[in-house]
Amino acid sequence: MPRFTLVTFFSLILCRLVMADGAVSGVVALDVQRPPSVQPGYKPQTVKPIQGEDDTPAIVWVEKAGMTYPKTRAKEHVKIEQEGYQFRPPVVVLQTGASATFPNMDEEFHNVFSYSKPRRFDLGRFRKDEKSPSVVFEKPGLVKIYCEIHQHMRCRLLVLDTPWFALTDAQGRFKISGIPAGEYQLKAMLPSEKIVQSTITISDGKTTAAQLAR
Amino acid sequence: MKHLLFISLLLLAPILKGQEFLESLDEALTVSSADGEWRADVSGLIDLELYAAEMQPLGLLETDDELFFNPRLTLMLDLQMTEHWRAHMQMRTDRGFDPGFAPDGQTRLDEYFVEWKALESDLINMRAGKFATAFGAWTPRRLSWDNPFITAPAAYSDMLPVVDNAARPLAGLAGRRNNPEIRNTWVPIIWGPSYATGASIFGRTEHLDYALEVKNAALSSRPGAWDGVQNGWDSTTYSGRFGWRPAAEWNFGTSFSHGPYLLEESQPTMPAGRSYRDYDQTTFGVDAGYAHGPWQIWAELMTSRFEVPNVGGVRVTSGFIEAKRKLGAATWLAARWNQSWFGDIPGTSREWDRDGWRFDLALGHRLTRQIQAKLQYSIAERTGHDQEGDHLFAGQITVRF
Repeated sequence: MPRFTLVTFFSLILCRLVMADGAVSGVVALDVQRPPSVQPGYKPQTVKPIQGEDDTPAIVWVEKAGMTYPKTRAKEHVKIEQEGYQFRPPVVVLQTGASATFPNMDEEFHNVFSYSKPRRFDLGRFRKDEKSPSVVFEKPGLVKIYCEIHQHMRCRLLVLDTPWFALTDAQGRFKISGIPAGEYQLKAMLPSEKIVQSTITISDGKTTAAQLAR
Repeated sequence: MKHLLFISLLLLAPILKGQEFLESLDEALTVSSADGEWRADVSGLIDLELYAAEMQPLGLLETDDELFFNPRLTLMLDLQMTEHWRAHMQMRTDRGFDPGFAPDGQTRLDEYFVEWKALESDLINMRAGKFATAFGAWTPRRLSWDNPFITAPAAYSDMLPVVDNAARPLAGLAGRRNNPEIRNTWVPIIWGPSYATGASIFGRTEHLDYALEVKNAALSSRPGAWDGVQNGWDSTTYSGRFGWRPAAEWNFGTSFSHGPYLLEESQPTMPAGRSYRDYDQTTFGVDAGYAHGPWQIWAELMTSRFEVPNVGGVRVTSGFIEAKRKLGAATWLAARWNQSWFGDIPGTSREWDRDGWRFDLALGHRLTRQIQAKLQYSIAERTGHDQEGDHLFAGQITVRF
């Protein structure tokens, strides 16, 4: 009997580890992002040619009203580089408490700033070989990041309380794992910054299929 | 004026709250082809300015009121036609090109030009139309959104007792500063951005840039003289600037300008056998800029010689150093020291005007990427008995769309 209990106990633990929590995967119908908001007649004067923006994915996340989320991704740190007169990556998602630095990889000055309510900052002008200050994002919301010198440069950083988020690939595909069973809102911020959502049910050990479109 | 101020604030209130509206408006006013080669963009600035000046007011402010309210709407149209062609128009409605010069309101086409980029690189560009001068380094930050202050530096706004509409006797020059009430007949070294009409060639390489222009009016000429169609080309003026950027932090330049500055209406008062076109303004200048971290610093020094009928050549040297320090995310503090020195009246040891200085202090804050507010205080002093105001307070709210 003790041997049976022990085997059963470890089997249940193993089962829990293997089949713990659920996941959601699917496709978001990507739209087109707005053109950069620049002053009329804005003609960037750069030493080297301006390179194109990277593809803009959608941000997908799972949330539930009133839920206290685990802070599993609050210590994450991302580097948002300025290279070829563009922010790379152009879209970032972080959990509240996470941080970012903004290394300048170009030969000229950049001046990274944001006037968005969740996080206002201005890093001033700094060069390629200078260390970028670290910016911590404590409040949830969309932080729109720009360069004061090169108006066409832009980065969208979404700060979320939930740790269950992902970026889509170029086809809009995503997968988010480690979600406890329950009913949630699945949301996506499209390249146009529009939000689409649907209700999903997550079951332990299963992957829920979902599609999001405007 | 109170009614105008009240109505302006009433109209502005929903705009200040509607950030999303401003972004949508900005987007709606842009039309672009799929490949971005063709683009039309309408944009603008709404400025609400309030000046409280001690009489006579400092700089290019023309009013007897203790409080002067100046609302301004600036509309800009930009057309991009392939990478090589560009056109720009700027129209303004306000109470004068400089506040108070048209107190009942005025709408003008201040700037318009067509630009052609000859090569893939920026080495050779050509421009024709009515546009800001290439002289100096202040004009790139002349619009309210880019200027850390509300007013222009003294070299671009301080009225000198040089008269451009008539030849006056020599005896009147030295004492002219005592009559600031006739200041509207005077001119500064450079009248604001000096949007005279003409053509220019300009370009840049990695470390060097240049601009050469031919225009229809001198640097000091008043806005009424800038229109080439209306005023012709009798006062052809040649100006230019050469710049050097040894590193990202540093920017150096040297500028020149030469051309007749008297208005045609001064001809009947000219000495016998002389034309108003015989009297030139010749100006040389150097400028430097530095930027790093939260700091931006600019400095200019220029010397200008006016050939004055019945007097001879009189020289003024003027300069300023301007520093902007960002304080946190969206706030800045800016300070500017302006100084002017005057030479002697030809054949005498008497200065033709009084040396003076002006200190400008400004605090600015950007509420969003479309809305900003500024406060400025200026104090000025001249040697000797001073009959002009020494203090100016100003406030400005700007909405960009």
